[in-house]
Amino acid sequence: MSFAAEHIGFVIASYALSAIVIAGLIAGHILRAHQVERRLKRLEDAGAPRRRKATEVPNEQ
Amino acid sequence: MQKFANPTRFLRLQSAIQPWVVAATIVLFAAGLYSGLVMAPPDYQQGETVRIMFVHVPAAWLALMIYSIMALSSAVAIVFRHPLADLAAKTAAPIGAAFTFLALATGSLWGKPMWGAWWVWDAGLTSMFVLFLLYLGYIAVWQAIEDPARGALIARIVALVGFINIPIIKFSVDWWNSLHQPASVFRIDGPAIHSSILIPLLIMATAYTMLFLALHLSAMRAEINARKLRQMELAHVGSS
Repeated sequence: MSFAAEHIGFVIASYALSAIVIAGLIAGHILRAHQVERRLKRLEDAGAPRRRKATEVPNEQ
Repeated sequence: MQKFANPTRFLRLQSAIQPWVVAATIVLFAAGLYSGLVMAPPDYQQGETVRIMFVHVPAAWLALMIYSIMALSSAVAIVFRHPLADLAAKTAAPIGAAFTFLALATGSLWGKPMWGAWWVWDAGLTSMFVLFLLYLGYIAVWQAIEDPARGALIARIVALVGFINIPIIKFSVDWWNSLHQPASVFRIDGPAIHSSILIPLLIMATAYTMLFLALHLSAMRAEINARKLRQMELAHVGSS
């Protein structure tokens, strides 16, 4: 890829924007997963029942 | 399919395959970026701007695919009452919205040097923008309605009604006059682009798909745990 080419700024901007959005998505998912796991562990340590029966479904409906 | 209706079984499967999916995503992105930015030649007409294709087209494909998955999951939730179906649709929506935003933004960055305009209100671009609004609407339904059963019901209807837009986006470039080029990969008479461009594009599309799979599996795990957490919190409060 030639960095002296015409309109190269649009190419760089496209890749930079894609990288930022994808990095944000990944970071958001990791943070949420860790947050939920941490709260689960804290609750389990506080004495809440550790496991549900395998047949039960944690469905909110 | 009902075999995986049990969240515990799903979580076990997710733990087993997640590292492989993440590894495949990293390898495919490395291969796709190398072949797209280093190996692929500049286009004889578009020059280096053709490389925007390697991030724009996979994002657009994923935007359509993820919404189709949401519609299918919603249909499965209605017909089979699969307990993970609503959860699969709900957790796919933010990822789909992000890819739709990327398709619109990178398309705009490609359009300006090629068409001389950041945006035109033609059928293809407008229907893609409508898809973005549908994603936001779907997410808003889950956020706004407190009763999860009612929220799930309305979200299913939004996903299924919005699915009408998917074939419109796919075929709009063929049905109506548009600045956007017609389909050049998935055509009855074969791809219209050279293999030196096509191969990096397909590698990047596979990388994006694996990225979606990795994110979706992770999001489904987090959502199952979040529901478990809410139920445990309620039980804990009730018992204390």
